[in-house]
Amino acid sequence: MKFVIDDLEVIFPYKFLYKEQLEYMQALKQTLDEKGHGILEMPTGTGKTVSLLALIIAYLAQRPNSIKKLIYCTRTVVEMEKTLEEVRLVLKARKAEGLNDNFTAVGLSSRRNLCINPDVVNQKDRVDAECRKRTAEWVKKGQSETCIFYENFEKSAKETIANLPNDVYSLTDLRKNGAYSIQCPYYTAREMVKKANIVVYNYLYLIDPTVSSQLSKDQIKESVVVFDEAHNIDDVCIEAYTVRLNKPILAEAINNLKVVETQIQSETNEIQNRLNEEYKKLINNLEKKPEGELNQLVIPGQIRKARNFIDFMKRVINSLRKKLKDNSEALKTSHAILHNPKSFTEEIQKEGNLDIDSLKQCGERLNLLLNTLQIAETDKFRPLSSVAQFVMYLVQYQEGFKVIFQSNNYEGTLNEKLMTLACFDSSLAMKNIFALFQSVILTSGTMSPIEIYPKILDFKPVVAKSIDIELTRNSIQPIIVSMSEDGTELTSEFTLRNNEDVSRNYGNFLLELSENVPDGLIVFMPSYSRMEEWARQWQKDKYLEQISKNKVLFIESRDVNETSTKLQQYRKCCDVGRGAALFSIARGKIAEGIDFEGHYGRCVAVIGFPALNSKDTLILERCKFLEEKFKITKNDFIEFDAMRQTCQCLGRVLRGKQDYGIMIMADKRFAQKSKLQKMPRWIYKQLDQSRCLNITSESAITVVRDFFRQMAKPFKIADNSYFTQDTL
Amino acid sequence: MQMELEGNTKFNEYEEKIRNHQANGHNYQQDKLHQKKESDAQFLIAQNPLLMRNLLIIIDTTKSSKISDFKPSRLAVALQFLPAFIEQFLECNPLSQIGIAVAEEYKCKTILDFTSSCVNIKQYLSTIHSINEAGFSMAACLQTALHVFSTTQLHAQSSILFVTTSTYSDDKLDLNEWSEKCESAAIQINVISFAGAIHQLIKITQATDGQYLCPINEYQFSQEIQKFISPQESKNHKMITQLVKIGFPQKLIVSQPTLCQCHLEIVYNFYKCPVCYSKVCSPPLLCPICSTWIVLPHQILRSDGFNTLAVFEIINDGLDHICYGCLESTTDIHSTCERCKNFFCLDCDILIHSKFKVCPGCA
Repeated sequence: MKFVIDDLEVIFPYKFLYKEQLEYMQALKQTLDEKGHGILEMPTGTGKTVSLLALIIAYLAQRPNSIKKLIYCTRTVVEMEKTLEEVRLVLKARKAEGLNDNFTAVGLSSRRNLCINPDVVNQKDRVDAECRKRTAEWVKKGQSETCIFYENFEKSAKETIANLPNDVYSLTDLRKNGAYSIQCPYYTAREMVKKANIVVYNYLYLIDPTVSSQLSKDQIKESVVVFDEAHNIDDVCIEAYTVRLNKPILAEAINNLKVVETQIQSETNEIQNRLNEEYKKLINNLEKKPEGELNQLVIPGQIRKARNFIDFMKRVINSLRKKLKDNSEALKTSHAILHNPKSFTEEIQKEGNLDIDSLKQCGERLNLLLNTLQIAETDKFRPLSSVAQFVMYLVQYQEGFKVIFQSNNYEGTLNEKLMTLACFDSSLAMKNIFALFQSVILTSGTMSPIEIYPKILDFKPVVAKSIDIELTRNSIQPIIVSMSEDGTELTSEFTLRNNEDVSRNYGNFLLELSENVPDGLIVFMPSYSRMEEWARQWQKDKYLEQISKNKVLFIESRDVNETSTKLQQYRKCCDVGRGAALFSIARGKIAEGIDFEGHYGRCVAVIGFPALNSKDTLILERCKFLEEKFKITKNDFIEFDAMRQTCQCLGRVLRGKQDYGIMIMADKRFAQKSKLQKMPRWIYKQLDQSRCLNITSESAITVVRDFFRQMAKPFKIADNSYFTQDTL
Repeated sequence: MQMELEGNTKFNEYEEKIRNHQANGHNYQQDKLHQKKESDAQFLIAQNPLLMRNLLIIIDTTKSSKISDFKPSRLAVALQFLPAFIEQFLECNPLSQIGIAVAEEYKCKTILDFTSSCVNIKQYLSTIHSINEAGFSMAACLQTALHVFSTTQLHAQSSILFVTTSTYSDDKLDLNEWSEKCESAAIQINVISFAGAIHQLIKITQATDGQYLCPINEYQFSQEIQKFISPQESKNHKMITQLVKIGFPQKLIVSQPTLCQCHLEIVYNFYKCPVCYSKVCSPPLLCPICSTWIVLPHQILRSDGFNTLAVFEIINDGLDHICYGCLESTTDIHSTCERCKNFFCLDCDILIHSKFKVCPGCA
């Protein structure tokens, strides 16, 4: 259908346009008009992506001067493919209307997802390294294996890409084309990204400093950047700047250095020549003296010679090792030790006699050296590069970072001491992006409270809007359960974790639920350890046995592959009418990005309040930082984080207007006012305060039964909640 | 005091309703017309020369039937309203038969073969009780049903009515396979559920042109179950025309107890097959000895409304007429029988088409 917003003609690929989609597009258009950044919240499963694409593509076509490119960032490959299919749909609809846009859309992913060389692609984790081995500049014919796909690409890249018709190229298309013309899809995609109007790739291509620096040369200011599912963007930003080191990594780094050293000392003319050449180049760069901006190739004299650099890195690693050792002693008595980056730098400098400018440039210098020495297996040298990264960030950024020593209890190895350079400032990564692009749009199903994002990401949005859903019937039913039948409180509070009553009550509640919910039931718990604890207790009390009579029971495990097979089986059980229950973790893989549409998810129960562990040093420090800089209190942040996680879990259940589902929050803490305020409006509005807030588990079951009987009735979406071509 | 107040408000409500009725006289008539249309449509479907229907009622008695969200329990509510339904069903479909089966833990048991004796069915219904184990299995039920239906005549329309209380179907067999078998055997599957919509079961009912109903309370249950009384159209059903040997039996009442051949029960009044003289208890049924189709004359007459009754035509002449049914004067809108040219008010029209199936004027 075709319609006009203000003066922009939008072509929408469906026959119906929901009211909230129109509202969303209007808000989006306002953002683009004002050339600013925006935050938009719209309920899941209401056609967010397609309305966004329809509007921006219309904008691209009609205002080519103000916007030239759309960069769409997704979190997973599956989402990327879905988005590209939607782009295809929009472009097809535009073509059907007789418009000739000449748009090219392309998806870019890692080598692992795009490689088609049969020798390489089977190597799974080593695809990157194997590919580099075959495609690096210095690899000459006959010397080692080459990749025929890449060679063909090099020969005729420009022509082929120029000859490609304007179309949508999803990852599958790229692979297919590549197999047909025997050209490397990965490099083709990388080349196409420069020219294409619509680009879809992963968050990290923009956020991760090591990756984004490679791409940033080709960016155009007049672009719209969209971050889909952006509710966790601050975590991604922080993770990108956090570096972890421990004893094995440092030892490995030393080994790396030894490898490099032997190569340098080898007396082959060729390598010596190359090293000399490199040195000359660096000197030349110095003479040219770029104007103003920081040129990364200006390498300080102390590390300009390869041999000196190796020496320098050795000193860096040794001083880090010493630090780790010193602090390990102290860790025996305390939980964690904190250092300020500034004092820590000074200590290291004194220890190894290091110079600040050299530390700043050591990452660049390392890449250069590896290039000169023609080392392709960069994954083997990752320990060394993380050391370089560590010191680089340490020197470069003073505020918002902390060096933390603590025992590593994540990976099961006891007494393993971990040195973390932790970043707490999520605005750091986003700062570049906000400055680099004209419009950045953050969008998701759950971004409430919306005011907090501009604060922690440090930007000023021109539009920050939460869009409501219009439901013909009450197809979602949030329920907050705070008590069990006998009046004891239901809570996952830390102080009550050993209380058997609580776990028994939860078990009983789940059993009742499993009996009364048809098809799929998804249960989210705060953490793995808590789930294991509860499961043990339920096993003892025979709850699990009884639940599995009503539903086939699946439990999420830490292994990704195992979980995905379990998910497949879960869906199969729902399909045959047996019904299934899935126990998973509120912060796990299933809580994000996996949709349970229709009968796959009829009920989501969040058992316990999924708060971050406030005893963890990293989180404590982050809260301290937020309080200092943005005046967000620790409680506020922990609540905010738990609620967004909860709502993300709850949002899994509603994937469209025909869909229906129950959202259960079983913890007395959910009923507190401060938590209710942090719920997205579309969920809060559906919460029946008199009937579903603060009730016992028994009355919750009554509500559940009534709800499913009511929803079984045949149903049609009300005419006034959508527009057709005629009614618009 | 409290009681009085409540009573008052109830009274006011009624008064208001009556007042509204007078004020919106037009709407009232519209409602009636709509009702007439519905009953006519149902009448036309019932006219389908599907003389015989076989209905198997399968009642879920597993653990979830004990749940007391319907008072006193789900199963009790079902058993409370089923007798009335069966009575009505047999009355409206005189040549039809009903069988009863119960679903238990992973299996299904027929407790009564097809019969049209209302007393008999009610007696068996009262013996049904809940069991403690979970494990309702749709596939097992279908397997049993197919077995039961294999002995019935081909020209009868066969349908199953599930009364389920579970939110799952725990099958040891392949449910898809058995539902496909039902589909190819043209068995219609209907579900009336206490628990909500199960995706797979809805799909099965749709594939066999059945209905999936989900009543909210006791009253709705009694209303919704009525929908199964008149036969529904079925795409799958292949019309098989064949000659049927029919016999009209003789009724006998004796003082000595005797065994009937069909259900092997002690009876005092029975019918005698005109071919082989075996004793049977409740026509219509297939004579167990000689396979003659034993029916009573009025049953044939009533089920074949085609020759005796047609849809009445609506006449909107604004004149006063006396209704031939209730002998009250009718105004504005009324209908007339094509054959005897008598006038009827809409109320009588609906009643005639839904219940009597015989026009009092023509008769």
